[in-house]
Amino acid sequence: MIVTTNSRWSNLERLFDRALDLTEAERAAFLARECPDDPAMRDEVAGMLRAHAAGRGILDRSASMPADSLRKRAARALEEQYVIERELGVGGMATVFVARERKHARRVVLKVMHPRAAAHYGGAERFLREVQIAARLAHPHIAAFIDSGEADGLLYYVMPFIEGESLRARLQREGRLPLDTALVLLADVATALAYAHEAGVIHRDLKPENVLCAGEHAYLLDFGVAKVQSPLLEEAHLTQEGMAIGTVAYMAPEQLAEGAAVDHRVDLYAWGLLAYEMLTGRLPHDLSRDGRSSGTALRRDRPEAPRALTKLIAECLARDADRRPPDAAMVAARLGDVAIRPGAAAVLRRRMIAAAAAVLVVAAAVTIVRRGADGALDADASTPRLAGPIAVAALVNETGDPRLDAWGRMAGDWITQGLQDVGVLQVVPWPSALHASEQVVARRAAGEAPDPVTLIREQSGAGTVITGSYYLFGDSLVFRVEVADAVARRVVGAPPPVTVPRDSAHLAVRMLRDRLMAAVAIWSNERFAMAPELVRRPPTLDAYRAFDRGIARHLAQDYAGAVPEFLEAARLDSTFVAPLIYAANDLWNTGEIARVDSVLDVIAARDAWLDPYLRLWIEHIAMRQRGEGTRALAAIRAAAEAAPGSRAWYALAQTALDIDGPDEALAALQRIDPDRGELRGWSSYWTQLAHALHLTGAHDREIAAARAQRARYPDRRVALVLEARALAAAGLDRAVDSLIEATRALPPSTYWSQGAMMVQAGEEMIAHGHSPEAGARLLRAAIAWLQEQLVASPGDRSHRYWLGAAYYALRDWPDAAAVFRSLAREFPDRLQYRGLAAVSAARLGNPRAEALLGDAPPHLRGEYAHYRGRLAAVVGDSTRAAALFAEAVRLGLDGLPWEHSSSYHDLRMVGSLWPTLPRSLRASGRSPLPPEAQGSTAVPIPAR
Amino acid sequence: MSQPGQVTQLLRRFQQGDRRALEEVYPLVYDELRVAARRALAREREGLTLQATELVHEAFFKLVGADGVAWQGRAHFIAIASRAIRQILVDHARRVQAEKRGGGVEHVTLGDAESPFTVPAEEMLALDDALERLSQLEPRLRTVVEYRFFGGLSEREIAEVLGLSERTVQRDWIKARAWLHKEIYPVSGSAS
Repeated sequence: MIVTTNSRWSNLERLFDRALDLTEAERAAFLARECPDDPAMRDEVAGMLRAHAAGRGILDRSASMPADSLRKRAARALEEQYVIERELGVGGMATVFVARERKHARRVVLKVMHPRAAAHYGGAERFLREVQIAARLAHPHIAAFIDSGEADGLLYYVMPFIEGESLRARLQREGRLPLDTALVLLADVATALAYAHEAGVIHRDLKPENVLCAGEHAYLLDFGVAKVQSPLLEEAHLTQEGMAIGTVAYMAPEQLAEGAAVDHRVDLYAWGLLAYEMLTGRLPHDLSRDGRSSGTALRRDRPEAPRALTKLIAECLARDADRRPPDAAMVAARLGDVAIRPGAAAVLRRRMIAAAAAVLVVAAAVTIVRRGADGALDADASTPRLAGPIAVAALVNETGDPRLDAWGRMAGDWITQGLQDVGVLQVVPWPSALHASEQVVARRAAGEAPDPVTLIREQSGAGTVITGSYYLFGDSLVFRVEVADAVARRVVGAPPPVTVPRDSAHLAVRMLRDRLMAAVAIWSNERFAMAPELVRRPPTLDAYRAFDRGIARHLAQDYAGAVPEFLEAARLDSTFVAPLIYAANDLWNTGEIARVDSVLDVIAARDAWLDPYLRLWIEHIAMRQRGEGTRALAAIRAAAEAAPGSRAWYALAQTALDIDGPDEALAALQRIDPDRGELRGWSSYWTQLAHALHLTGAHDREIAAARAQRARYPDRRVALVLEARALAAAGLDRAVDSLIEATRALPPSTYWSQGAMMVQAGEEMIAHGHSPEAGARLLRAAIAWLQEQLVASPGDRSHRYWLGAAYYALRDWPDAAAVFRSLAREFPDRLQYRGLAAVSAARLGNPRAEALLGDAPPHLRGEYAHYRGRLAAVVGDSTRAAALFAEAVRLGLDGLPWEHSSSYHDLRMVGSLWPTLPRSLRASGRSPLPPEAQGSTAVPIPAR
Repeated sequence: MSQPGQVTQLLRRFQQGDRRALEEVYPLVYDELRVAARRALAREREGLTLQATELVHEAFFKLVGADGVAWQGRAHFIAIASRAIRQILVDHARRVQAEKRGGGVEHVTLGDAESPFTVPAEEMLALDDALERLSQLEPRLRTVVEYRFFGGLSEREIAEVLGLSERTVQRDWIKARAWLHKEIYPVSGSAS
């Protein structure tokens, strides 16, 4: 340590401060001059200057973060919209990346402000407001902002990617520029400035680094956001970027003066410098005197430059802003009068006229954009996504105990901090929100009755406002909050109230904060925006994360993997019921019916947290569990009507299909968008749609639905089976053949295999009577294919099932009976195998066939009735059969008749009762058998 | 251990301009933070991640608690706590170094769970030393560094707490950073 006394320290401080304002080259001379006899002091100042300019040390960690982490953090925060491709450069204030915009598949420039630098813009709000204003600029020579925002606490903006080089690079390469080139570029810059100034936007940081040359023309970058509040910081900026140009070179004198007001004329000064440097390859030597001296130097260095031009440049360089031209439009106009050669002058003049016209429309354009923005918010009201920025008001103390006043403000502050951490929405900083809250209190004290949400919106510019209060309830303190859309003036949702012991308000504040963080995350997530149970009662953040993991698995149809995540989510937040519903659903999907009951018990224990929508869902699940299809349908229908666009509509469609309502199913499916919201990524939507269309006989649309699924989910093999089935139903035999041919090379799949395709298509061909012979041929091909597969994987139950179905469709009862019987013995729990074994046995005339059917659990009552109906039909009791079929459909026949395609052979025997049969069952076969064929095996089926 | 009311009283005095209140409140805040830090570190034997922000929040709830302190925002409290955070981190760095001497460079992890960053224990101790020397020269610079680096306060908040202009805080920071880095990284001038 060298410095020991305080006077020495003040000397060091002073030298360091002054040296900072000098260029690298000047510093050594300065130090030698200032302390000639004190090499130790010189070393010390030089050491500080080095440390100042050098990269990162321990102290840079808390305020800013390492660059790779900035990239990672930006990539993660923006991954929905952008893919970062490479880093273009790192400056003191920002890191610039080349990125690809996913939506438009185009290349863009993404500029991410360093967190430390962002503070110098006066905070996120101000930065974003300035970008927003600048983004309204639409001019051929301004690189417009495509997008901007705050993501994960990082401020960023996006500009189009333009191939070209900066004017700085060009000047370094060429030195001074040819006169006509310079004139065209300067005219571009002047017209762009004129346009922007008219719109009320000042660039503030015009310099060769911010002018992009592409082809013959210039584009201005970074409009309006380059404002730096302190020249000292600007200096740090330049030093860190390692630029060789003089410090603060392009700043107008009034920008350097502390606290002075600046206006659009700082850009005219910078334009003058730009022109000077383009013409001479360097900056004026002495800017301290008036611009006129620069004019003299300019004429000396570039004698061929027209006098009108050098005069204009010199005027722009006037130290006193009042002595510069009044505006950029004037600069552009005078530039148009500069004659170099007739052709160039004409080009320039034409451009000036165009520029003047552009200036005239800009004021109108900005107004329209403003109105458009408001209008857009209205139009968006149907999708309940939150509009930023979000403001949190101080919670109102309704306890009557003034000693508890502080908690309202503390809660507001803490929730604000938490929302900033979530980072999905711009957040109004706490001081502004507090100020707005105090206005509400003041107005109330003055006897007015202001609407807090409106007032806070007016005061803070918030699109979403969180308000709330706390009150005493016995010995407990209850906190409640509401989230309101401040534009539409409606409550978007409210997390469950938080109740804590009176002396533990801090716990309530933490819980509220946690819940609101999750709420904002959910409401900003497109998938969940339409899930009413999530929107109304947001869970805690951890619970939400577990739920989100479960959803990912659920969408991948990994139901067994999804269930533990859902149960974990419910465990983490005892008020969170939605994951339990998903868990019940997925347990149903995996066939773990007994566990569905236990989940329903857990849900019942959380009755306090059920709103009407969720109660209807629970009712739906419980009714399905009891095999009451019609009542399950009524419950889910009511839930769907209460929640437009929610996944209740999907469940409604599914249930309607189970109980013979293909028309209602179709209508329900049309109420939801398969590519947006909760159902995004849910391939089964298309399965249900194709199936509903099949049942209504709209086979053309059925084909389209199957193909839509295949286009979206090429890996889902069910799409191929659906398509084959639809083509067969439409009588397009050749298309079926070529589809099957095309899939021959695919690896064999388990359930929805090539065999399944052939069986389904063959059955349809026979059922619809278009081409029974082709159908029979296909079924025989299926048998051959399936037998081959069974050699490779003996015992595979899917292959065996389809094999049995093929035999049954070919009326080969003995082989069908053998296959189904062995399946039923091996998997005694599967009613389907027992049912098919029983029906096949009955076909063979086995009097004890019904015994093979056994019993059924309650949730399979519909399916059970269906098999009993088939048995009755086979033995010729068509009246009983019809009654049982009707009962089956009332109770609900899960998956009908996807896995019941063999039933039509039996159904056709019902004969005169055919018209009374449920429509969805009739749709699987064209018509009943002729009366003479009933009860007989002598049906007109092609010979094997 | 402290009474919540006691801290509130001291905070109020501090806000009213009584600088000595800071010296009195410090041991109380320090005790609380140290207990919280020990608890946090015990939870994470391996990671040694010290979530300073969380610790401060927790301590604040506990100490200032429910009894209605005139609420000026958290800046004042964090300003006080930043000194204690420094002490805790330095103690921790010292312990890390002592326990694992000879096992290569040991790190202290700071920040929060989402974006942690690590500082070699040695660097933390060097900063602590240099900070003491700096305070001999200009005590205010030490305070600015503590508030900003250990407390995570913004320049605006620091300006508010110290009753300075934001610009002065900015200048102080630039100066302090240059001087401290020069001291900590004498040859290369940078950590990495």
